[in-house]
Amino acid sequence: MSSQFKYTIEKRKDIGFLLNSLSIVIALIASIAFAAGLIALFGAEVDIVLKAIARGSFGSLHAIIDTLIKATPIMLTGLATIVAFRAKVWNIGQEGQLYAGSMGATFVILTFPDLNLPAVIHIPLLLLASMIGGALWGGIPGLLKSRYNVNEIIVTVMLNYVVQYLCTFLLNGVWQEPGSYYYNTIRFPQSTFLPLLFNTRLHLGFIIALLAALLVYFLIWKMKLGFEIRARGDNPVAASYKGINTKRVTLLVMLLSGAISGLAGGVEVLGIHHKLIWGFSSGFGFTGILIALLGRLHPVGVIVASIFFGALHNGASAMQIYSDVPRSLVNLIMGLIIVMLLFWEAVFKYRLRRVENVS
Amino acid sequence: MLADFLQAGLLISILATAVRMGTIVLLAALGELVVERSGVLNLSVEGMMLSGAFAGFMGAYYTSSLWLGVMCAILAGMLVSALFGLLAVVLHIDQTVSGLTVNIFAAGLTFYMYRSIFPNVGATTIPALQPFSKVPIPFFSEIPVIGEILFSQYALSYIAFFMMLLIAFYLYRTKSGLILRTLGENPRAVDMKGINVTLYRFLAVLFGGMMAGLAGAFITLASVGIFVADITSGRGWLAIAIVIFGDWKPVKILWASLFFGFIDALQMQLQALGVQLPFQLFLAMPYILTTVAVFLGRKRSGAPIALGVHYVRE
Amino acid sequence: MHSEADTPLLTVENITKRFGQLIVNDHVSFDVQKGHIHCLLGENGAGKSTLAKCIYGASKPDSGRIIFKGREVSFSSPRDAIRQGIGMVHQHFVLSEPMNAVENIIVGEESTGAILNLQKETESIQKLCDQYDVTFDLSLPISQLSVGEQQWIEILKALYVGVDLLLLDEPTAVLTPQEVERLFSVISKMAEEGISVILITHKLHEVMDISKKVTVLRKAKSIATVDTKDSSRESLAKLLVGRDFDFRVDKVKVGIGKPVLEIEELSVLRDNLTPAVDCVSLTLHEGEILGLAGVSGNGQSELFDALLGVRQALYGRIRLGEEEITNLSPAEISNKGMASVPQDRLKQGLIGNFSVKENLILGAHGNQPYCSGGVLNMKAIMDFSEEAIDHFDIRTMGPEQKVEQLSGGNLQKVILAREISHPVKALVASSPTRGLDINATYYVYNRFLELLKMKAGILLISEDLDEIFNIADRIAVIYNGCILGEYSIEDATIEKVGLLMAGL
Repeated sequence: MSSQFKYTIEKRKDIGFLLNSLSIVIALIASIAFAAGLIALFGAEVDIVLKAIARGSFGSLHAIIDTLIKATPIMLTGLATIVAFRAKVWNIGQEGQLYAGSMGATFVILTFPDLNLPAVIHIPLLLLASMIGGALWGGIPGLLKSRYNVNEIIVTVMLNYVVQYLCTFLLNGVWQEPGSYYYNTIRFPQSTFLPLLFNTRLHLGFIIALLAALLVYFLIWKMKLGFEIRARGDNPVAASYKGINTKRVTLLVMLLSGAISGLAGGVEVLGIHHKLIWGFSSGFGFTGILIALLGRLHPVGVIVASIFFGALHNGASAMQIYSDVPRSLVNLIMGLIIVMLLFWEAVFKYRLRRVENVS
Repeated sequence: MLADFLQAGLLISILATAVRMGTIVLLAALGELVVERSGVLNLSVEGMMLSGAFAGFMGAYYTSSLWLGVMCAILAGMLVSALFGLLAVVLHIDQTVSGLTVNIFAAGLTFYMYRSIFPNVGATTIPALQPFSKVPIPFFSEIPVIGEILFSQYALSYIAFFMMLLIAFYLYRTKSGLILRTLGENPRAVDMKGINVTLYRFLAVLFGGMMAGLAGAFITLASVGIFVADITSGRGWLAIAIVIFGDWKPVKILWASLFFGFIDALQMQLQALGVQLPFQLFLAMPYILTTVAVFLGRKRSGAPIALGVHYVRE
Repeated sequence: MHSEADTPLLTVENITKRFGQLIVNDHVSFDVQKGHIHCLLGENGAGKSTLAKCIYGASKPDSGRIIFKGREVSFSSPRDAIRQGIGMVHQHFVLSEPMNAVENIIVGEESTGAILNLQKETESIQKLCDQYDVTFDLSLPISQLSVGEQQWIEILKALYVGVDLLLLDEPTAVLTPQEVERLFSVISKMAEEGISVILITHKLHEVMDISKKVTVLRKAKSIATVDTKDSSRESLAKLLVGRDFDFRVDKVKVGIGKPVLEIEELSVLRDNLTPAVDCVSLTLHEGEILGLAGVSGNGQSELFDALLGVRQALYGRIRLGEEEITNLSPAEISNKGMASVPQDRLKQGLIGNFSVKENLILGAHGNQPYCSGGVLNMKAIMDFSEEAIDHFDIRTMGPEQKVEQLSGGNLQKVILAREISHPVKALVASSPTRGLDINATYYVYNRFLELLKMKAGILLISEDLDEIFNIADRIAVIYNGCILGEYSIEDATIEKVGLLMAGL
């Protein structure tokens, strides 16, 4: 007797909010389970690790401040990634553009040391310089892509390396602090310091990042350019036919994306280090890409993900102290979460369907 | 200084190094060639090479056998590529996003595992092993000039040359190779013949992972004998660029790889020669040239038509 | 006495197939005899393609059975079907462009060895070509072959393996009348050799010209199977539509006014820098439909692109109304009153991932009232889309629905709503009714007529001669990038036009 029903796999028309959220939750749980397994495999105790992470990330006011400070630059590079990826322009150069931005601010400070401007003017000027620096570095691949259709992934990755060598060249030469053996500049003047908030170590950069998130949201969904960015990302052919200059969009997107990453560089250097020091960015650029993917290319997602990452990062430092688990677990977890997110989202695109088996 | 440079001995030594450096990237590029010819763009080559470099080192370190290390490297490359294949080929997730994600993930995993296993690595206490030595081919290595450049290389270089010939033969003279090439141009044609497009592409991706892992092993196990973070320093991206620059053809890819190997070798020697340019410029040279390579390759017509496009049966 | 000639080669019995809730084939039944040319006649959407898929193994029917060569068969794949003797030639060819005919034919075939012997394969394929009186260069890459030649390669794929039954899906859609004749002679020869052919078509005259028998499909059901010699165009049409069908669109003669689009000695290149449009001159007037006939690939898409500003004009001038628009940007040209309906709706005309409302303002998204100072006016956009959905009867769940979820007819409605909601001087439409069922098709024609009343002109680029003869006022023929002839519709005949389409 043949069965009444049979099962087929078919593609869903629309995922819907509920399943979308479910896929995210499953992804997070699966990632944590995998990470826990990995930790245990290498001989550490999972609950000690988790406690350390919790304490290190939100366990005190100091920890919370630290989390927000860590979240700032990657929130910005995450936003920079959103702007580019929404147009399907694959900017992987956030790291380099961040350095270019920090170098832009440094250039203005070191080249015009006698600028006696009040902080209210000096700081925005420097931030602007960092945005210009980042925009320039993003503009090179942008121009190559829009004009000559050169693969932007390879160019942005290559330029990451190139700008870092440029930076070491300068830090070993004209920009080096006299008498120092290390790769760093002199300490910047007080007027360039980003103001601190609420008498804590948290600097203005965090607010700037939040503002940037708001602006990016407005740009992508409420402005004509944002419409064109999304159009180019979803269907560049139809976009061209309907009058959108996709080449112009490509270039603009790289300039904007580079500028925002550059801003991240400027904010870090003016808010935390107060000098340009080699290696100040511990992968903020690449982490920004992770954050953007985690945040589903949406500013709110990026805000949440960057704070989450900042927390993890802090927790990981504590974790390294209290257990033998290396801090690099954090990057691994982030990468893992994204893989899981992609996987589960794709899996949920299909469904099992019961169909009448009429014979 | 120029006189020094032109001295035959130095030039020969540079060329020999060029072959070594070039064959490293050639292995990865050949793997990526096969993958892209099947229509899949795998951007995680850097991550796969890094995994191979790490696994190769670990395998050789713990088993004291270099060739077992190579086996581990190949396995690692294949595992990473399997993850990519699962996301991009089976689940039809955007190939660019999948590749970048797997890249980041593999790098993170590799570094984490290295740090977990060797928590106390410093400048003086870095774990090291005895790497491969060169394998001169009897009689041929005696030939003046050419002998040192081409026939006194590491085993892995000979393997790379052999793979190039093998892959060229495979692509153009075998039934399976024809199917693979057709997959890259019009996968529907292959589907209509009843051949499983997903499986074929997945296998191609695994092959690419194998080759990238092998290339990674070459880096750690031939000549350096240690592992550090970012030991691949962009060579995976270079491999992708070389496939474009070489117009998706094995012979052109061979020449492009050797050319970049030459640049790499030259850069090392120029520093030693005290050429009066900032050394950072030399270090940056491969990356600048890679950019130039993709710029020159922008009009290449050999790109598989279906590259990067998911195949969905209608 | 039962002779072998009486037993059908293929029996399709009560085939039923559903997609979700929709029934696409509803208890379809018919027989095909050995050595017959059998037509499957039906409108777009009647279920022909799905039925074909069940026969050649790409799809499993939900119920019913297929009996081939006397045995019940259930194919697991097209591969399986071909091995048992049933092959299919699709409407859209499945060829690998950079490779040549031989490589395309032998790829994946079990009969070839693991190491290819291209010499031997080429010889046997050449023999097949000779057998059917077809000559062309087997070593050329597909991209350099004509459409008719490419189709022959598709047929060769089946002949090479050796089929007893070959299905052809709308094969004449892309051919000139002369190439159609050549195809029909090949098919006839195949039938003489004992190979049965199922020809899927919606063209009545083809059925009358070549088939022995015809099965009519309508709304997922097989209505009747009749001998062609006992039928006529009218009787078939009645079966096809279910009622007496009037072939001509009721066109109220709108006065033809002054020129609205002038194309003067236009030359446009293809992507590979060969000439696509070669010194073309055309004039479109207010209130008229100018039909541009021609087999695809003769420069139509490049002409379309140049008119919209998407492709550069190498030489020549284009004037819209009084203004010169040559090589202006697509945005400018659109703002000056050029509307367009592209050939590939989801690829060229709409952004699938965008909502209906976003697609409705695509192109106008930078203009007042939808945008001012670079900021979008969400309310104005929403108001417009609600109105358009209502006015144009777009079947959608709402303005926020992603456009890729809509059916073909509704996609076209969205495009039309967008294009003709603003003042239009000229509309360029490329294959506007391709893939649409008969209701959607006549919806489009009626919208066109409305547009004519508002003093616009329509340039109709179409491979469907029936369509052009149906609604156009004048017809021009393009071949190899040149306009070979222009006639008013009264003076034109299919024969004359056909010759021009073939370049004669």
